[in-house]
Amino acid sequence: MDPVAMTPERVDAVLEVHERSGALRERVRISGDRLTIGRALDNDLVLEDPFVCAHHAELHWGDEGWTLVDLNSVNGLRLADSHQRLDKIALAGPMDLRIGHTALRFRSCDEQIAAARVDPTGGRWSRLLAQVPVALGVALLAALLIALQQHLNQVEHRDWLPALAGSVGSVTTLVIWALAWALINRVFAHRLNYPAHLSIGALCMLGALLGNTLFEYLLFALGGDGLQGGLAMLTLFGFLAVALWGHLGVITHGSRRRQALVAASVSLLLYLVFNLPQQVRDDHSNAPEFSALLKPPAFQVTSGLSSDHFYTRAAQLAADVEAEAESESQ
Amino acid sequence: MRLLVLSLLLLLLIATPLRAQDWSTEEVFARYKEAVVQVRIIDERGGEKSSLGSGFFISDAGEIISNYHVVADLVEHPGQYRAEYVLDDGSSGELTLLDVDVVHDLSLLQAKDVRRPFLAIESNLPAKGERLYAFGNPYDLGMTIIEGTYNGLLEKSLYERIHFSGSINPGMSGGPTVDRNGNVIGINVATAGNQVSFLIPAGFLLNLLEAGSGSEQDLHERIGGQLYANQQRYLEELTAQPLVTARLGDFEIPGKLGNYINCSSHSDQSSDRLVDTVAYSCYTDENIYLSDQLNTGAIRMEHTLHSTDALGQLRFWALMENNFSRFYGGFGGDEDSMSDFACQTEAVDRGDLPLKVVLCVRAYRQYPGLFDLVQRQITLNRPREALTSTLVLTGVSIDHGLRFAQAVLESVKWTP
Repeated sequence: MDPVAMTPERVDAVLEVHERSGALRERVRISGDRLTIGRALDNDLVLEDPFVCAHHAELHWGDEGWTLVDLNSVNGLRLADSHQRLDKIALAGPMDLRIGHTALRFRSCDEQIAAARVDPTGGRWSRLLAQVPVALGVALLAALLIALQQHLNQVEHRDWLPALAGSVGSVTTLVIWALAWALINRVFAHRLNYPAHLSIGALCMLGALLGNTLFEYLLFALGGDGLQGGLAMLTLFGFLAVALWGHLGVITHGSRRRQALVAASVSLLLYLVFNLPQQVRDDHSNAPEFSALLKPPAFQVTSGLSSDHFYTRAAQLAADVEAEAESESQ
Repeated sequence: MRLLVLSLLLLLLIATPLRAQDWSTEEVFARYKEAVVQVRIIDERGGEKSSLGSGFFISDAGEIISNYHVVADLVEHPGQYRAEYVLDDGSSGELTLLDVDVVHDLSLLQAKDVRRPFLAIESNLPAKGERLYAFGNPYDLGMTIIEGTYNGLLEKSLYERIHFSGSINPGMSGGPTVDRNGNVIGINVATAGNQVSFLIPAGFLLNLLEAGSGSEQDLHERIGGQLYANQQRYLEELTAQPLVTARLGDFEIPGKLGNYINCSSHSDQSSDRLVDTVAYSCYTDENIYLSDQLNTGAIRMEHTLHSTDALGQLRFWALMENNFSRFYGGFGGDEDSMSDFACQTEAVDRGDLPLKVVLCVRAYRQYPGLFDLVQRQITLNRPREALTSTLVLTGVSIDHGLRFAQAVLESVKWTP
C-alpha cells in the first residue's frame, strides 16, 4: 500500500514588516494560500525598498507548510541573522527574515501569546504625572523653591526678580533633562510623553532640595555637622536614582524591581565618577576648608559638647594629623 | 725756639687719639668696611646667585653673622644651594652654616681660610637718638653705609626689634649696624620704608654663639626646639592668668592680650545696610621667617558682631552660614613642609552660651610637634545677633595651642 502523503492542517499566518528600529510598520494577514512580495504595485505585499525586485518572492502553502520562494530576484532571501542567500525558506513559528533591506517577521496565528501585563503607566499616579497642568505646576514649584533659596541668601537688596532669574539655570537644566528623556521615550516607545518626564524631573528636584534642607535642619537640631556632606550626597544621588527609576518606568514596561536596580546602579556609578576624582586627588591646600550648619538657634534641640570634651577630641584630631603627616613623609 | 714750640704742638696733635665722637661717616666706613661681607646664595645647578644678603665677621676665626632668612635655602633645600662670601676687595670664598636662631632671624656661618678684622658685640642698648651706621650691600650695588639714629625697642612686637631711623634696603639684611665705636648694636633685618627700619638687638648674638657652635644636633631639630621654646614662652605667659577682655556689644571678648598685640576695630552701621557689623581684630605685627613660602609664630584674633533688625531669622542665619565658611588670608608652605588642614566642627555648650565651633589643624612635617591652628566659633544664643570669633595660631605645640584656644573660647561671654 502506498503511503498516503499527509498535508498538514493549514494554519493562518501573518507577515509583519518592521522598521530598522524594530518598530512594526505593517502587518499583513495571509488569507489565501499564496502571497506575492515585491516592489511592483501588483504584489500582495508592496515593499518600498530599492533593493527589492519588482516581483521578488512568493509565499505559499503546500505540503511542507508555509514556504517562501525566491523568484530569481537580484538580492535573494536571507534569514535575519544570516548572510547566506537562500532560494527557498520553510517557515515555522515566529521567524525573522530579510528581503532586500527590509526586515520581515513571519508569525503563525496559533502562536502562544503571553498573558497581558499590568500597565504601570495606567495607574492613578502615572496618569496624574502625565497631565500637562501637573507637569507645569510641579516645575513651577521647583523654580519657586530655588528662587526662595536665592531670595533668602540676598542681604543687601531684597528683590524677587534677581532671585527668579537665579532659578532660570536650574529650570533650564530640568527642561533639557525632561526633553532628553522624552526623546529616549520616543525612540523606544514611539511617543514623547514629555509631561510625565517633566513631572518626574521636577518632583525629584523638589525632593532633593526639600530633603537636603530637611536634613540640614535635622543635623543642626541634633548637632551632627559631621554628617552633612554625606547626607547631602545621599540626598542628591538618592533622588537621582528615584528620577532614573521614574523615567525608566514611563519608557519601558519591564520589571520595576529590575528598573530600580538599574537606576540605583547608574546613580552609584555617577556618584563614583563625580566624587572619586576628588577623593583620590592629592592637591595640597594651604587654607582650611570648613563649613558649619547654622540655622536659627531656636531649632537647636540637643546641647553641644562641653569645651573640655571638644578640646579632647581636638587633641586626638591633631594626633591623627601628625601621624598621617609622618606616614606620608616616610 | 719758635720752631720747637710749633714742632711740639704738631707732635701733640698727632699723638692725641682721634675721639670716636668726632669721626665722620667716611671714617666709620673706612675703619669697619673690611669686617663686612656680602653673602651670596648660589644655586648649585644654575651656578648663579639665587639671593643676596650681607654679613659681618664676629671673630678672627672667620665666623660670620647674617640673617637666617638670607641663608634659609641652605636649610630648606639642602644640597640645592651653597653660600659664598664676597669681601670688600671683591675676593670671595666658601661659607658653611654652623647654626641658626630662627626666632631672632640670625645665622652663624664659617668662612674658610680667611682672617679679617671683626666687630665687637654691644649688648647694652644706646641712648635714644644716638647716631648709628648700618652697613650692607643694597641691591648688589656695592658696600654701603647708611647713617641713622637709634629710636628704642619696638613696644608692640612679640619679637624684640630695634627701631632704626635710616634706610635699610634689600640686600642689606644680615649686615651690622654699629655705633661710632664700631660696636655692633643690631643686625639689619627689615624695613617698613620711609626710613623706618628694624634691627635685631645684638645681645641675641651672644645666645647664638654660646648655644650653637659645635652642636651635633640636626639643624631641623634645633630649629624645631627653638620654635617650640618660643611658642611656649608667649603662650604660657598668655594663659597664666585670665585673658584681658574687651567689650563688643553685649559680649565680652578676649581683647588686647599684651603690648605686642596690635588691636583695631571697625564698624559698619550705615542706614542702608541690613546687617550691622562691628569688627575687632588683634594680631602680632611680626612673625618668624622659615622659608620664602612660610612664616610662623604669629597670633591673629578677629571678632565680628553681626546684628540685624531688618532681616528675618531664616535670612540672617543663611547669611551667617554663608559667611562662616569664608576664610580670608591663606597660609604658606608647600606639600613638603606642611600637611593639609583637618577640621572638626561641633556644637559646644558652655551652659550659658551655646556655640558652634570649628577647629582646624595642620602639622609641620619638618618640625614634629608643631602645628598651625585655626579656630572659628559663632554664638548661638540670640535669634538675630551673632558673634563670630576667629583665632589663628601658627607654629604652636598642640598642648599650648589648644590651651590658649580653649581660653579664648571660654573668655567669650554674653553679659547684657
